[in-house]
Amino acid sequence: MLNSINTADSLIREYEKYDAAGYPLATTSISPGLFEAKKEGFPTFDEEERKPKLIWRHASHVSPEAEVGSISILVESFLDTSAKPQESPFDALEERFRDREKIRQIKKIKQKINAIIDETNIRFSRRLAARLHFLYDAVLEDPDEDPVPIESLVNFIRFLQDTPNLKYPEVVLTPSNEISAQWRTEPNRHFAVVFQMTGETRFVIFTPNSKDSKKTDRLSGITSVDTLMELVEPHGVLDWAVQ
Amino acid sequence: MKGKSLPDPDHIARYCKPKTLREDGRPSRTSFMLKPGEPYLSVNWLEYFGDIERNEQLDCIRRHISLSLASTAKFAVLNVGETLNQVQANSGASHVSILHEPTTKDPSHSGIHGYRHEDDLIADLIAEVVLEIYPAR
Repeated sequence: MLNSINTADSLIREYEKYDAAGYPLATTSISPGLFEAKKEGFPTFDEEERKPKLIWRHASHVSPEAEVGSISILVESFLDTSAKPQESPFDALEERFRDREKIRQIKKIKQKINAIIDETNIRFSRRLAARLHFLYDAVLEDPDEDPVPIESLVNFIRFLQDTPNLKYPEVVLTPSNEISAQWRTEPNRHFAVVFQMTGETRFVIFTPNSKDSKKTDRLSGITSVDTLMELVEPHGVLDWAVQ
Repeated sequence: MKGKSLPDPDHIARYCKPKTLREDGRPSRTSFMLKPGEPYLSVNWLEYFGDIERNEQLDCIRRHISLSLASTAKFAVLNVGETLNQVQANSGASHVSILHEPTTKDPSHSGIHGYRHEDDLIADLIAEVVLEIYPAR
Protein backbone atom coordinates (compact mmCIF):
# COMPACT_ATOMS: atom_id res chain seq x y z
CA MET A 1 0.00 0.00 0.00
CA LEU A 2 2.70 2.47 1.03
CA ASN A 3 4.65 1.74 -2.14
CA SER A 4 1.58 2.27 -4.22
CA ILE A 5 0.87 5.65 -2.63
CA ASN A 6 4.48 6.68 -3.07
CA THR A 7 4.41 5.75 -6.75
CA ALA A 8 1.36 7.92 -7.35
CA ASP A 9 2.77 10.81 -5.36
CA SER A 10 6.02 10.71 -7.29
CA LEU A 11 4.05 10.71 -10.54
CA ILE A 12 2.12 13.74 -9.35
CA ARG A 13 5.35 15.50 -8.39
CA GLU A 14 6.74 14.68 -11.83
CA TYR A 15 3.73 16.31 -13.50
CA GLU A 16 4.01 19.38 -11.33
CA LYS A 17 7.09 20.19 -13.36
CA TYR A 18 4.80 21.19 -16.25
CA ASP A 19 3.36 24.67 -16.70
CA ALA A 20 -0.34 25.51 -17.07
CA ALA A 21 -0.16 25.13 -20.85
CA GLY A 22 1.25 21.64 -20.50
CA TYR A 23 4.87 22.36 -21.24
CA PRO A 24 7.69 21.34 -18.91
CA LEU A 25 9.02 23.99 -16.58
CA ALA A 26 12.31 22.16 -16.19
CA THR A 27 14.53 22.55 -19.24
CA THR A 28 15.71 19.43 -20.99
CA SER A 29 19.05 18.97 -22.74
CA ILE A 30 18.78 19.70 -26.44
CA SER A 31 21.30 20.00 -29.26
CA PRO A 32 22.58 23.50 -30.13
CA GLY A 33 21.04 23.31 -33.60
CA LEU A 34 17.60 22.62 -32.23
CA PHE A 35 18.05 25.22 -29.55
CA GLU A 36 18.50 27.80 -32.31
CA ALA A 37 15.54 26.44 -34.22
CA LYS A 38 13.18 26.77 -31.28
CA LYS A 39 13.49 30.50 -31.39
CA GLU A 40 11.61 30.40 -34.70
CA GLY A 41 8.61 28.40 -33.49
CA PHE A 42 7.20 24.88 -33.78
CA PRO A 43 7.97 22.29 -36.43
CA THR A 44 4.99 20.95 -38.39
CA PHE A 45 4.35 17.41 -39.53
CA ASP A 46 4.12 16.36 -43.17
CA GLU A 47 1.18 13.93 -43.26
CA GLU A 48 2.07 12.62 -46.75
CA GLU A 49 5.75 12.07 -46.09
CA ARG A 50 5.07 10.80 -42.53
CA LYS A 51 7.97 12.84 -41.18
CA PRO A 52 8.55 16.27 -39.64
CA LYS A 53 8.80 19.20 -41.99
CA LEU A 54 11.57 21.61 -41.23
CA ILE A 55 9.26 24.54 -41.66
CA TRP A 56 8.83 26.66 -38.59
CA ARG A 57 5.85 28.67 -37.63
CA HIS A 58 5.36 31.08 -34.80
CA ALA A 59 3.90 29.82 -31.53
CA SER A 60 3.08 32.83 -29.43
CA HIS A 61 1.65 30.92 -26.44
CA VAL A 62 4.92 29.31 -25.42
CA SER A 63 6.31 30.86 -22.29
CA PRO A 64 10.05 31.61 -22.36
CA GLU A 65 10.86 29.25 -19.51
CA ALA A 66 9.02 26.42 -21.26
CA GLU A 67 10.38 26.80 -24.80
CA VAL A 68 13.26 24.35 -24.62
CA GLY A 69 11.21 21.64 -23.02
CA SER A 70 8.31 22.00 -25.43
CA ILE A 71 10.61 21.61 -28.41
CA SER A 72 12.12 18.57 -26.78
CA ILE A 73 8.67 16.94 -26.40
CA LEU A 74 7.92 17.54 -30.06
CA VAL A 75 11.28 16.20 -31.16
CA GLU A 76 10.71 13.07 -29.05
CA SER A 77 7.34 12.66 -30.72
CA PHE A 78 8.86 13.01 -34.18
CA LEU A 79 11.55 10.46 -33.43
CA ASP A 80 8.84 8.05 -32.37
CA THR A 81 7.11 8.17 -35.79
CA SER A 82 9.37 5.47 -37.21
CA ALA A 83 7.92 3.02 -34.67
CA LYS A 84 4.31 4.01 -35.31
CA PRO A 85 4.13 5.26 -38.90
CA GLN A 86 0.31 5.37 -38.87
CA GLU A 87 0.12 7.91 -36.03
CA SER A 88 0.80 11.60 -36.06
CA PRO A 89 3.39 12.70 -33.50
CA PHE A 90 0.78 15.10 -32.22
CA ASP A 91 -1.23 12.08 -31.01
CA ALA A 92 1.52 11.35 -28.51
CA LEU A 93 1.48 14.94 -27.37
CA GLU A 94 -2.31 14.87 -27.00
CA GLU A 95 -2.06 11.65 -24.99
CA ARG A 96 0.42 13.33 -22.67
CA PHE A 97 -2.05 16.18 -22.10
CA ARG A 98 -4.80 13.66 -21.30
CA ASP A 99 -2.51 12.00 -18.78
CA ARG A 100 -1.85 15.35 -17.17
CA GLU A 101 -5.58 15.95 -16.79
CA LYS A 102 -5.99 12.53 -15.17
CA ILE A 103 -3.11 13.24 -12.77
CA ARG A 104 -4.68 16.60 -11.88
CA GLN A 105 -8.05 14.95 -11.17
CA ILE A 106 -6.47 12.25 -9.04
CA LYS A 107 -4.47 14.84 -7.12
CA LYS A 108 -7.77 16.55 -6.26
CA ILE A 109 -9.28 13.22 -5.29
CA LYS A 110 -6.33 12.39 -3.07
CA GLN A 111 -6.82 15.68 -1.21
CA LYS A 112 -10.46 14.70 -0.75
CA ILE A 113 -9.46 11.26 0.55
CA ASN A 114 -7.08 12.80 3.08
CA ALA A 115 -9.93 15.03 4.24
CA ILE A 116 -11.96 11.89 5.01
CA ILE A 117 -9.56 11.14 7.85
CA ASP A 118 -9.42 14.67 9.20
CA GLU A 119 -12.87 16.11 8.62
CA THR A 120 -15.51 13.37 8.74
CA ASN A 121 -17.28 11.33 11.39
CA ILE A 122 -16.75 8.07 9.51
CA ARG A 123 -15.55 5.48 12.03
CA PHE A 124 -13.49 3.47 9.56
CA SER A 125 -12.06 6.59 7.90
CA ARG A 126 -8.39 5.49 7.96
CA ARG A 127 -9.09 2.07 6.50
CA LEU A 128 -11.38 3.58 3.87
CA ALA A 129 -8.84 6.26 2.93
CA ALA A 130 -6.14 3.61 2.47
CA ARG A 131 -8.48 1.57 0.26
CA LEU A 132 -9.42 4.59 -1.86
CA HIS A 133 -5.77 5.58 -2.28
CA PHE A 134 -5.08 2.06 -3.53
CA LEU A 135 -7.96 2.12 -6.03
CA TYR A 136 -7.15 5.54 -7.51
CA ASP A 137 -3.46 4.63 -7.72
CA ALA A 138 -4.51 1.62 -9.80
CA VAL A 139 -6.34 4.00 -12.17
CA LEU A 140 -3.36 6.33 -12.32
CA GLU A 141 -1.02 3.52 -13.26
CA ASP A 142 -3.22 2.29 -16.14
CA PRO A 143 -2.62 4.29 -19.34
CA ASP A 144 -5.93 3.12 -20.85
CA GLU A 145 -8.05 4.51 -18.03
CA ASP A 146 -10.78 7.11 -18.37
CA PRO A 147 -11.05 10.33 -16.32
CA VAL A 148 -12.03 9.99 -12.70
CA PRO A 149 -15.30 11.65 -11.58
CA ILE A 150 -14.64 13.24 -8.17
CA GLU A 151 -18.41 13.75 -7.75
CA SER A 152 -18.87 10.01 -7.27
CA LEU A 153 -16.47 10.03 -4.31
CA VAL A 154 -18.13 13.14 -2.86
CA ASN A 155 -21.57 11.47 -3.04
CA PHE A 156 -20.25 8.30 -1.44
CA ILE A 157 -18.67 10.18 1.46
CA ARG A 158 -21.87 12.19 1.92
CA PHE A 159 -23.84 8.95 2.11
CA LEU A 160 -21.49 7.46 4.71
CA GLN A 161 -21.67 10.61 6.82
CA ASP A 162 -25.46 10.65 6.71
CA THR A 163 -25.65 6.93 7.60
CA PRO A 164 -23.13 6.68 10.44
CA ASN A 165 -23.85 3.13 11.67
CA LEU A 166 -22.94 1.33 8.47
CA LYS A 167 -20.32 -1.42 8.52
CA TYR A 168 -17.15 -1.04 6.50
CA PRO A 169 -18.15 -1.82 2.88
CA GLU A 170 -16.33 -3.61 0.09
CA VAL A 171 -15.28 -0.68 -2.13
CA VAL A 172 -14.22 -1.00 -5.78
CA LEU A 173 -14.40 1.18 -8.89
CA THR A 174 -16.70 0.67 -11.89
CA PRO A 175 -15.38 0.71 -15.48
CA SER A 176 -16.24 4.45 -15.51
CA ASN A 177 -14.29 4.94 -12.25
CA GLU A 178 -17.37 5.55 -10.13
CA ILE A 179 -17.43 4.20 -6.57
CA SER A 180 -19.22 0.90 -5.97
CA ALA A 181 -19.80 -0.06 -2.33
CA GLN A 182 -21.18 -3.40 -1.21
CA TRP A 183 -22.46 -4.78 2.08
CA ARG A 184 -22.89 -8.56 1.84
CA THR A 185 -22.93 -11.20 4.55
CA GLU A 186 -24.74 -14.03 2.69
CA PRO A 187 -25.78 -14.62 -0.93
CA ASN A 188 -29.28 -13.49 0.11
CA ARG A 189 -28.09 -10.56 2.24
CA HIS A 190 -26.53 -8.38 -0.38
CA PHE A 191 -26.74 -4.60 -0.78
CA ALA A 192 -24.60 -2.95 -3.45
CA VAL A 193 -24.59 0.66 -4.64
CA VAL A 194 -22.91 2.61 -7.45
CA PHE A 195 -22.50 6.29 -6.60
CA GLN A 196 -22.88 8.09 -9.89
CA MET A 197 -21.36 11.45 -10.65
CA THR A 198 -24.88 12.84 -11.20
CA GLY A 199 -25.86 12.46 -7.53
CA GLU A 200 -27.98 9.42 -8.29
CA THR A 201 -27.25 5.92 -7.11
CA ARG A 202 -27.86 2.55 -8.73
CA PHE A 203 -28.57 -0.11 -6.14
CA VAL A 204 -29.05 -3.88 -6.04
CA ILE A 205 -30.53 -5.84 -3.12
CA PHE A 206 -30.67 -9.62 -2.59
CA THR A 207 -32.79 -10.30 0.49
CA PRO A 208 -34.83 -13.22 1.92
CA ASN A 209 -38.44 -13.23 0.79
CA SER A 210 -40.67 -11.99 3.61
CA LYS A 211 -43.12 -14.91 3.30
CA ASP A 212 -40.68 -17.71 2.44
CA SER A 213 -37.16 -17.10 3.72
CA LYS A 214 -35.77 -19.91 1.53
CA LYS A 215 -36.54 -17.77 -1.49
CA THR A 216 -34.51 -14.70 -2.44
CA ASP A 217 -35.94 -11.41 -3.62
CA ARG A 218 -33.70 -9.58 -6.10
CA LEU A 219 -34.30 -5.88 -6.63
CA SER A 220 -32.50 -3.10 -8.43
CA GLY A 221 -33.25 0.55 -8.97
CA ILE A 222 -32.07 4.13 -9.23
CA THR A 223 -32.56 6.86 -6.65
CA SER A 224 -30.78 9.92 -5.30
CA VAL A 225 -28.12 9.66 -2.59
CA ASP A 226 -30.46 11.49 -0.20
CA THR A 227 -33.30 8.98 -0.51
CA LEU A 228 -31.33 5.77 -0.86
CA MET A 229 -31.59 4.53 2.75
CA GLU A 230 -35.23 5.52 3.01
CA LEU A 231 -35.96 3.45 -0.09
CA VAL A 232 -33.93 0.35 0.80
CA GLU A 233 -34.67 0.16 4.54
CA PRO A 234 -38.02 -1.69 4.15
CA HIS A 235 -36.11 -4.50 2.40
CA GLY A 236 -34.16 -5.29 5.56
CA VAL A 237 -30.84 -3.91 4.43
CA LEU A 238 -30.09 -2.50 7.88
CA ASP A 239 -30.22 -6.05 9.31
CA TRP A 240 -26.84 -6.85 7.79
CA ALA A 241 -25.34 -3.52 6.66
CA VAL A 242 -25.14 -1.76 10.01
CA GLN A 243 -22.98 -2.48 13.06
CA MET B 1 -20.05 -8.98 -35.61
CA LYS B 2 -22.00 -11.59 -33.68
CA GLY B 3 -20.52 -15.07 -33.90
CA LYS B 4 -21.67 -18.52 -32.84
CA SER B 5 -22.83 -19.33 -29.31
CA LEU B 6 -20.20 -20.97 -27.12
CA PRO B 7 -21.00 -24.53 -25.94
CA ASP B 8 -22.47 -24.71 -22.42
CA PRO B 9 -19.79 -27.06 -21.02
CA ASP B 10 -16.98 -24.69 -22.12
CA HIS B 11 -15.36 -21.90 -20.10
CA ILE B 12 -14.60 -18.23 -20.49
CA ALA B 13 -12.00 -15.99 -18.84
CA ARG B 14 -12.62 -12.36 -17.97
CA TYR B 15 -9.68 -9.99 -17.46
CA CYS B 16 -10.35 -8.16 -14.16
CA LYS B 17 -8.55 -4.87 -13.60
CA PRO B 18 -7.06 -4.22 -10.12
CA LYS B 19 -9.57 -1.42 -9.42
CA THR B 20 -12.40 -3.97 -9.73
CA LEU B 21 -10.90 -6.55 -7.36
CA ARG B 22 -12.08 -6.89 -3.79
CA GLU B 23 -9.67 -6.46 -0.91
CA ASP B 24 -9.23 -10.24 -0.76
CA GLY B 25 -8.22 -10.22 -4.44
CA ARG B 26 -11.39 -11.84 -5.76
CA PRO B 27 -13.28 -10.29 -8.70
CA SER B 28 -16.14 -8.06 -7.62
CA ARG B 29 -19.40 -7.10 -9.31
CA THR B 30 -17.65 -4.27 -11.19
CA SER B 31 -15.34 -6.80 -12.90
CA PHE B 32 -18.43 -7.74 -14.92
CA MET B 33 -19.89 -4.30 -15.54
CA LEU B 34 -19.83 -2.67 -18.97
CA LYS B 35 -18.66 0.81 -19.78
CA PRO B 36 -21.43 3.10 -21.07
CA GLY B 37 -21.85 2.36 -24.77
CA GLU B 38 -19.95 -0.94 -24.72
CA PRO B 39 -21.96 -3.45 -26.75
CA TYR B 40 -20.95 -6.53 -24.74
CA LEU B 41 -18.62 -7.74 -22.01
CA SER B 42 -15.32 -8.91 -23.47
CA VAL B 43 -14.18 -12.37 -22.40
CA ASN B 44 -11.97 -15.10 -23.89
CA TRP B 45 -13.04 -18.63 -24.79
CA LEU B 46 -10.68 -21.02 -23.08
CA GLU B 47 -11.49 -24.21 -25.04
CA TYR B 48 -10.78 -22.39 -28.32
CA PHE B 49 -7.15 -23.38 -27.78
CA GLY B 50 -8.02 -27.05 -27.41
CA ASP B 51 -8.17 -29.61 -24.66
CA ILE B 52 -5.05 -28.48 -22.80
CA GLU B 53 -4.32 -27.55 -19.20
CA ARG B 54 -6.02 -24.43 -17.86
CA ASN B 55 -2.70 -22.65 -17.38
CA GLU B 56 -1.76 -23.36 -20.99
CA GLN B 57 -5.10 -22.02 -22.20
CA LEU B 58 -4.52 -18.88 -20.16
CA ASP B 59 -0.99 -18.52 -21.54
CA CYS B 60 -2.49 -18.54 -25.05
CA ILE B 61 -4.90 -15.79 -23.99
CA ARG B 62 -2.08 -13.76 -22.41
CA ARG B 63 -0.22 -13.90 -25.71
CA HIS B 64 -3.16 -12.72 -27.82
CA ILE B 65 -5.21 -10.38 -25.64
CA SER B 66 -5.07 -6.78 -26.80
CA LEU B 67 -4.73 -5.26 -23.32
CA SER B 68 -1.74 -4.32 -21.23
CA LEU B 69 -1.99 -6.76 -18.32
CA ALA B 70 -1.48 -5.18 -14.89
CA SER B 71 0.72 -7.11 -12.48
CA THR B 72 -2.01 -7.35 -9.82
CA ALA B 73 -4.92 -8.00 -12.22
CA LYS B 74 -6.67 -11.37 -12.38
CA PHE B 75 -8.43 -13.65 -14.81
CA ALA B 76 -11.81 -14.91 -13.59
CA VAL B 77 -12.88 -18.22 -15.12
CA LEU B 78 -16.57 -19.01 -15.54
CA ASN B 79 -18.54 -21.85 -17.06
CA VAL B 80 -20.65 -20.81 -20.05
CA GLY B 81 -23.82 -22.77 -19.22
CA GLU B 82 -23.73 -21.93 -15.51
CA THR B 83 -23.29 -18.23 -16.23
CA LEU B 84 -26.21 -18.15 -18.64
CA ASN B 85 -28.40 -20.17 -16.31
CA GLN B 86 -27.56 -17.94 -13.34
CA VAL B 87 -28.45 -14.76 -15.23
CA GLN B 88 -31.52 -16.09 -17.02
CA ALA B 89 -33.02 -17.79 -13.97
CA ASN B 90 -32.43 -14.97 -11.49
CA SER B 91 -32.87 -11.78 -13.51
CA GLY B 92 -35.36 -12.75 -16.19
CA ALA B 93 -32.88 -11.61 -18.85
CA SER B 94 -33.53 -14.47 -21.27
CA HIS B 95 -31.77 -12.64 -24.10
CA VAL B 96 -28.30 -12.89 -22.55
CA SER B 97 -25.92 -14.97 -24.66
CA ILE B 98 -22.19 -15.71 -24.90
CA LEU B 99 -20.90 -15.48 -28.47
CA HIS B 100 -17.55 -15.99 -30.16
CA GLU B 101 -16.25 -12.60 -31.41
CA PRO B 102 -12.83 -13.40 -32.86
CA THR B 103 -10.48 -10.64 -33.97
CA THR B 104 -7.38 -11.01 -36.12
CA LYS B 105 -5.15 -10.53 -33.12
CA ASP B 106 -7.27 -12.29 -30.51
CA PRO B 107 -8.93 -15.40 -32.02
CA SER B 108 -10.56 -16.59 -28.77
CA HIS B 109 -12.17 -13.21 -28.07
CA SER B 110 -15.84 -13.58 -27.15
CA GLY B 111 -18.58 -11.50 -25.58
CA ILE B 112 -21.41 -11.74 -23.07
CA HIS B 113 -24.26 -10.05 -24.92
CA GLY B 114 -27.66 -8.84 -23.83
CA TYR B 115 -27.08 -6.39 -21.00
CA ARG B 116 -26.14 -2.75 -20.60
CA HIS B 117 -23.79 -0.81 -18.37
CA GLU B 118 -26.54 0.07 -15.89
CA ASP B 119 -27.72 -3.54 -15.49
CA ASP B 120 -25.89 -4.00 -12.20
CA LEU B 121 -28.08 -6.92 -11.12
CA ILE B 122 -26.69 -9.00 -13.99
CA ALA B 123 -23.11 -8.06 -13.11
CA ASP B 124 -23.79 -9.12 -9.49
CA LEU B 125 -25.20 -12.46 -10.63
CA ILE B 126 -22.23 -13.17 -12.90
CA ALA B 127 -19.80 -12.36 -10.08
CA GLU B 128 -21.45 -15.09 -7.99
CA VAL B 129 -20.54 -17.89 -10.41
CA VAL B 130 -16.80 -17.30 -10.77
CA LEU B 131 -15.21 -20.76 -10.65
CA GLU B 132 -11.48 -20.06 -10.65
CA ILE B 133 -9.14 -17.08 -10.36
CA TYR B 134 -5.67 -16.79 -11.91
CA PRO B 135 -3.05 -14.05 -11.99
CA ALA B 136 -3.28 -12.01 -15.19
CA ARG B 137 0.48 -12.24 -15.73
